[in-house]
Amino acid sequence: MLRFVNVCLVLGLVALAYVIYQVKYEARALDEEIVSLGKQVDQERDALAVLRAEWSLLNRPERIERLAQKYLKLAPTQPRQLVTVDTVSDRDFDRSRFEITAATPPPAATAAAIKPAAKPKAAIATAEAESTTITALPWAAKIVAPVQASAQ
Amino acid sequence: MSESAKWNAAEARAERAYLARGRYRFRLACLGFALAFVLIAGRLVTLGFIGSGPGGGSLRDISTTVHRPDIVDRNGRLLATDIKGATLYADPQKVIDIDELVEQVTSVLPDVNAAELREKLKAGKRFVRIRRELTPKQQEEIYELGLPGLDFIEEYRRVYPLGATASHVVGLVDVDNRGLAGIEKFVDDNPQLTMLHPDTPSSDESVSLSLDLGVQHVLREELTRAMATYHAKAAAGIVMDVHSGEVLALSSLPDFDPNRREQALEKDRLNRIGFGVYEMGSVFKVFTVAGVVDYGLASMHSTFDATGPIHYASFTISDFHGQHRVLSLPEVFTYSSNVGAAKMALEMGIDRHRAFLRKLGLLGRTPTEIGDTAAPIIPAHWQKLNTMTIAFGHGLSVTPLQLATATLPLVNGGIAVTPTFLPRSREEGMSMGTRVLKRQTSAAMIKLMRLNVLKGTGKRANAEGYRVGGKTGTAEKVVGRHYSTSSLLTSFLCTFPTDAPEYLVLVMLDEPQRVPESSNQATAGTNAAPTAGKIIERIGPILGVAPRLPEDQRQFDAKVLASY
Repeated sequence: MLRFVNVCLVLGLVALAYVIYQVKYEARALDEEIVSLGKQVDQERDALAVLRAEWSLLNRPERIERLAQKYLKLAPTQPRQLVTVDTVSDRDFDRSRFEITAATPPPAATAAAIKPAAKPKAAIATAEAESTTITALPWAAKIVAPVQASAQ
Repeated sequence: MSESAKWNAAEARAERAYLARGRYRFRLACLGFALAFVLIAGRLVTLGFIGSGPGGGSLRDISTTVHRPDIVDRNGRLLATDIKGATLYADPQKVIDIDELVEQVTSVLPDVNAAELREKLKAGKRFVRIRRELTPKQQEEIYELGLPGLDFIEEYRRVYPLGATASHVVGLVDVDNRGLAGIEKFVDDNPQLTMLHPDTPSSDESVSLSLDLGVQHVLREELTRAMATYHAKAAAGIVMDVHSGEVLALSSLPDFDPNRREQALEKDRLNRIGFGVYEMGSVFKVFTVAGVVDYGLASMHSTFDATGPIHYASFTISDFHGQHRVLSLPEVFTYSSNVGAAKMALEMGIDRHRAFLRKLGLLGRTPTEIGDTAAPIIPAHWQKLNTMTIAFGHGLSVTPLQLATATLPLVNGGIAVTPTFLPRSREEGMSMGTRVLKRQTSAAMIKLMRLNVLKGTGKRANAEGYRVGGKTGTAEKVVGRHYSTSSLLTSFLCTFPTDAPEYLVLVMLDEPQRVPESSNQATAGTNAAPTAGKIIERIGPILGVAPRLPEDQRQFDAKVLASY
């Protein structure tokens, strides 16, 4: 009887040792995973900082202004183009609706007018690819690297 | 015999048992050793499989530079951020062949001075920094050389994506990422700042400023344009909120690109707004007029005799736009009469004049986040003559920032607010400020300034619909020991919209020339005023000031509307 109990205890001990061993190794693997994830988070954060700097660089007011002048047919708003609703009478409003509809070209012409508008978009892309202002900066090469890394 | 045999047998049995026990112990010991060796072997095998573990590699994660918070404008647009970059260094004790190393490294980094590097490596220190801020490509190339003794450290590097746009406010950092000037220095001195501000999307710390990037850009661009148009040596400008005291834009040209920190050392690129002192000229008349009105010594209907120049001791004070008659107070202001202003100041008297200027903060340094302004140059012995000349802006040199700050109570209802580069609400600005002027004085000054733009010297600043009011100033610079009539410092101090002032704009041009664009004149009304007008025209919509046209022009035009 006593022998049976002893054998059981020994077996239990062995089983427990195995389980503990297993758990310990799992914990260690998880630890390693935490470290590597932390590193990955750090890397992503650095990449994010680079991308935000890049975003800010591309959104410089002078650059936007230059591109707008090149590709958009818009001009700064003049004070006379701004009116408040209370200064507009019903008659003005009706008249404006009439004038706008009269001024709008027929649909076929509109479609033709819209088509070439797609082109400048591609033009912007090529212009930017060739742009020297961005690649000339010493840290610009870094901008490409994290993007590629995350793509992999 | 039997006894001895019995004894022998017992002895033999004991000996056999002893031997058996010995063999058993021997086996046990063998087993123990075997187990120990198996354990060691197993450990070796696992170590062999794992290698040096994760985190092994050539990059050490000890950064010598500190991580700085991002700096953003009032709308959260990024002005300065940190980016990680590698620094290449060598440990001469691990280098096998110095000459080979120098040759290989310079082949990848041609701008490294070979002779200097060889010298440093031979000096035998443990750490020789070869190059900071490597690009990833260069880093890879160096890594592929496979030379012993070379290693990298990852360091934070400050980048300013907007370049020079707001450099005088943001400031810059040294090679170790410590703040040298501007807000960067302020952030280092006040680490608690970052707690007041929300984190950026990537949970980095950030500090937001009162600057508005759009306004800043417009100011800088228009000043650049003015500098080129009028062939000026320098240009500077500031836009402030009259109630909160926030600086929305500050530009001083020529400026520097904080990404190229060596530029900041050039003397010509200093921040003229905060750290240059100038005799500002006629813009000072706003303080003289405000003074006599606030002390109750004159009203809008008072008159001042400006028929001829004032002779005092060996000096003569005369008018540039001379009318040679008795002028009313608004006329003194709009014709910018030096004689009239001098007489006003005399009515105030030396003590009251000085006390008034001190109250507005013009006689001491003004503290700001980017450092205290330069100290004004005050006459050592303030005589009657000093009061007369200071009345029209000569004889007292102040920084343009102080001038702008001192003008705030003149247009915001009489409350002196301190200038700030950090966000502050209008309510807070008004409740923190102290009353220095009567409300009526401020109302009168706004009216006078508007009148000056409608009918006086500031006509060219009249941005359509934005109800600008301001004062021109043309100061003669001291060249050698005399005031020069050709080297001028022109400025325009204005506020808009004048029915309820919200913003203050100060533009200053250093030595503008007579060019066709300014009708071959060099006075402030022909160069500084139109520049200010153009700035207001563009920043009005950004700041959300509703334009209002005079009644006769204010009509609904469907065609104009339809075109947008």
